[in-house]
Amino acid sequence: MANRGGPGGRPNGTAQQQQGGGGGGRICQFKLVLLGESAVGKSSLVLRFVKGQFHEYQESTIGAAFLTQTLCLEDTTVKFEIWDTAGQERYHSLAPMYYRGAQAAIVVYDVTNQDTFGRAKTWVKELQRHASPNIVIALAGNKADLSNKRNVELDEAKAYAEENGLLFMETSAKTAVNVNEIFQEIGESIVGLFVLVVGIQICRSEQSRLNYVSKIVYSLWYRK
Amino acid sequence: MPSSIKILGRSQFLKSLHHSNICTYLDIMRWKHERVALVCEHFGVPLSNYKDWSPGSALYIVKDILSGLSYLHERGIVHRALSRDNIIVVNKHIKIFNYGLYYMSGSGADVEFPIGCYNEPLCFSLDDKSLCELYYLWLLAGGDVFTEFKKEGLIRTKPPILGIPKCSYDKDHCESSSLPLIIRERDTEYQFRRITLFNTLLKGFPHTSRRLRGESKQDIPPFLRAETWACLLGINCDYQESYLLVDKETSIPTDRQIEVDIPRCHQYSELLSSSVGHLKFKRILKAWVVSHPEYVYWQGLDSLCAPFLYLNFNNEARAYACLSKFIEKYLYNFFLKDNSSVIREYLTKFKQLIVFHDPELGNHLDNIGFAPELFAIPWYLTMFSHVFPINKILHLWDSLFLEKPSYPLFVGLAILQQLRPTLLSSGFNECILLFSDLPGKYSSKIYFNNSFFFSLYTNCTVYRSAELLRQRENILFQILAGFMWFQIGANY
Ligand SMILES: Nc1nc2c(ncn2[C@@H]2O[C@H](COP(=O)(O)OP(=O)(O)OP(=O)(O)O)[C@@H](O)[C@H]2O)c(=O)[nH]1
Ligand SMILES: [Mg+2]
Repeated sequence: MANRGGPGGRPNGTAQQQQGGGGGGRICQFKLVLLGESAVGKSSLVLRFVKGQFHEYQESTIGAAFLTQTLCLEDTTVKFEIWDTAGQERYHSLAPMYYRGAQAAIVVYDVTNQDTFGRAKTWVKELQRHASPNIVIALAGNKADLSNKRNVELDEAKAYAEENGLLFMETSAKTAVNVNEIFQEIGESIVGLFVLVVGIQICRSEQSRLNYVSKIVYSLWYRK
Repeated sequence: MPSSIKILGRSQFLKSLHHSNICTYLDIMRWKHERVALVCEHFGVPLSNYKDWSPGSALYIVKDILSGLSYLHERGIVHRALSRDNIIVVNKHIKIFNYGLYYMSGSGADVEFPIGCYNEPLCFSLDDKSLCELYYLWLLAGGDVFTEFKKEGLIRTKPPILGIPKCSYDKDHCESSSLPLIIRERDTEYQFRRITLFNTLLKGFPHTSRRLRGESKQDIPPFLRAETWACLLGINCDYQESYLLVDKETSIPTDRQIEVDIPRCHQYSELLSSSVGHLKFKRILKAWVVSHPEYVYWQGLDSLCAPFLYLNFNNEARAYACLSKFIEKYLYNFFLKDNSSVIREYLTKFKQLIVFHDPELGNHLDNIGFAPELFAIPWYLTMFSHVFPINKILHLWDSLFLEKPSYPLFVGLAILQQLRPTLLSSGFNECILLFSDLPGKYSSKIYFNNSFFFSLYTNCTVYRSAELLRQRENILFQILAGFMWFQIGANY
């Protein structure tokens, strides 16, 4: 497939922060990519998150599709720019141009299919190696509504996620369980991370850096 | 999957059965409340009312019944309801009736027997082929099986086909041919003339090849589109045999991908969503993968196959032959394992065309980083069959088969032109959202905008300006077109 520098070579990959209109709220814009084997339900998850819909006959994705959605987290408005990629192994060569510079990735597998879990692990490895080091990775075990046909145990996936420092949830695009939640959790952890990283860069002196970090940790702590 | 869809898919096969001793099935339809209606030839006297039992007539009766039954048995159909009421005598000739119920219900799995049965006598006796045509014209003329059922309280009824005006061949010819395509396709008289004409042309193919192309430019009668496409694509007559010889059963590594793609491909179509539809779909795709070792299955091949299967539901071999030829002609090397350079080349041409035709738009799109790679791959890898519904694809491809190989690029340009004001006033995100794969967005903007499609196939504005352009800037255009000939027309 046609491989290029990155989606349009436009200034992406930097989280943009703008001052919101009123009340001093922040607006953050994040690039998020969905990866995973074909037919695990990536497009369905996005459709559920963006439009609140589910299509039994959701069309397969060719290349990639782009969508946006906004989430409000306390005083921050998070705008997700979502790249939903094609799952077929052949389209693999296109993937870097979508995950390059992404702040977050959701790696999806299908709880009824062990092979898709294996593929998800491969994606996680690739992201850890080639994506930006601060990327927030979430693992989603989709089609949780089909738990009677389950082939990937919850504990197994949970243990794997913990080992690798991933956010983890079992989701269902069909019944909407945990769909908004997973995006929300990603949003929260990026916002936290973002404030932290930018803050550290801004504070020059060792002392103010320490102060800043403790302030952030303090505020995150009390928000929970 | 509702039983009625399964039945609908399975019973398409019945329409392909033609024999002098069986009644022909003309149509199978689904209706509200899981009802299925069968339209079948039915004319004459049932054996139960037949009086002449002389040895001579008994002999031909037995002979005809046996020959009808053996025809059915050879095709794997068991009657299961053979009775005197289901054997009809027409002019000293036997026709077996009602033979498809057991078959279409999956050996009784999808319905409970016995089934109520209402007959719709079509009162003419012609050879099979013209009976199907006549039925098609009856539908066009406003005939509706279900209305007939309702009107008559499910009693036998005479359809209004008998009231069709007699049409002479050349009368009003010019008048209706200037009407928009959508209207022409629904005009009974016009279609009658076109079908008659195309029947002659198709019979005379390949000698009539030029005339057929010429007439197809005006329009292709939907009733004969499958045959016409096969001729326009230049399918050889040995396609049945070559399809038979391909191994479509042994499992191959691509199976999983094919299996997950088929249930997501144009499933609003009842035929394509039926279980028989899925089976045929899978066989055709597997046949293509197996017999083209130089190519691989890219997601999107399923969409490409859909229109051919839809048109040739009872002729898998022809659907397969059309698909193979189509890829050879219009998507040469797009299905290589490493197709990146082919696609990049094609999209570069597309970009050049945009910039050349509309520098303002081209520059804007370039500035915001809105590259064709991000939205046009599904367009060209599937010749738009992934992004438009089947009824639109049929018209688009009608023209594709007749125009220059650069035509798809102009279609892409026409789509951008149609959204020009929005594109020009938007940034990257808004632009790409216009083309994101979600249903709704795309469709409300382009799919259902009929005026756009009218303009597209009845000499669309962009295409026309491209004609102007060709005259004005002949040289550059020729380079462009020449390139396209080389690129995708290598097999002409
Ligand atoms: N039961 C159930 N089915 C689902 C769920 N999510 C998706 N599906 C179905 O799974 C199939 C595949 O979903 P898609 O969203 O197209 O999968 P995808 O990962 O985008 O696939 P590619 O585009 O080929 O990469 C569709 O038929 C969906 O209807 C779910 O949560 N539960
Ligand atoms: Mg998808």
